[in-house]
Amino acid sequence: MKKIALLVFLCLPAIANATVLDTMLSELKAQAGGEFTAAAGERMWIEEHVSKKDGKKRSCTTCHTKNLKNVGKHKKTGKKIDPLAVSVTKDRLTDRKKINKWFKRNCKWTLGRECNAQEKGDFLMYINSQ
Amino acid sequence: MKTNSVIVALVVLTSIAFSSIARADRDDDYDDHDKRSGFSSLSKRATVSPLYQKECGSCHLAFPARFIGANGWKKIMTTLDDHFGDNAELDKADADRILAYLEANAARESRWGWGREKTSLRISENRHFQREHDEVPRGVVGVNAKIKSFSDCQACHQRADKGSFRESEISIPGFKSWDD
Repeated sequence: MKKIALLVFLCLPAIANATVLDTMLSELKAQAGGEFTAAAGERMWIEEHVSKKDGKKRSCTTCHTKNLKNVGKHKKTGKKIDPLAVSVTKDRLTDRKKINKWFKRNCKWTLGRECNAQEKGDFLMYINSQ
Repeated sequence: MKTNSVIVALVVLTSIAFSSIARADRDDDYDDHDKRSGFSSLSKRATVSPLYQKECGSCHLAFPARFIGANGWKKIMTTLDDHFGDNAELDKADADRILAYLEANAARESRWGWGREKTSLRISENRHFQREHDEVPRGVVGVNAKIKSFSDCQACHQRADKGSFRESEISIPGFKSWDD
């Protein structure tokens, strides 16, 4: 019995992970209507957008690099960014507030607008697949 | 014998004089800086807000609150959607809490000139900052790949993350030692 309790306790973080991501995905799905795919997320990941502010091309890779398992680098400050891949940085996609904060900031900086539900769902699928 | 004592006395006196000069020249006058610039001393300083550290420190050094005046912080924290060209938006509750911490620990405006409308919000464009860095050799900052810009405090100030900027803690990448 004790062993089972311990096992459940040890699995709790994993259960919590699944909950945050699953909840977000199902909520986004209700808004977007369609299915989400990692492949669509990957396409958007490397897509370049010309900034209206400085005329330069921006993409997710500008700071995070093309490989989500790599350590990224903030374009302006140079500060290192832990890999986005959940296989490398274990606590990725476990904090709802953090996910929404960075979606807002990074979609606005990179695309010049907020991402819609479909895009967010595809990005989450892609990041979670890495 | 008499000459010997005189020589000994001279040597002793000279070494005392030199040691005091050396002490005065060390220029680790952090407390003097504190008094002059309106810094609160390191020991008396309040601990850094964990929320500020977490939210602002994830992109850049969580610059000490005492480097900017209350008005400046207010302007910065209410324009996070265009934060020196980046989007650094926070939810309002967090932004308000961080601003309250920054205002409570801000620089005294009269000393820093931050009360003036046209003063830049960049710490590195502050008069006091520029005076402190006027001896940094040209071509070091921005050219040396390890020092991206003057806003990268930690590139040279080894304990900047602890809010400490003592001269003895400076180590400029590519330079043997820093001593003015």
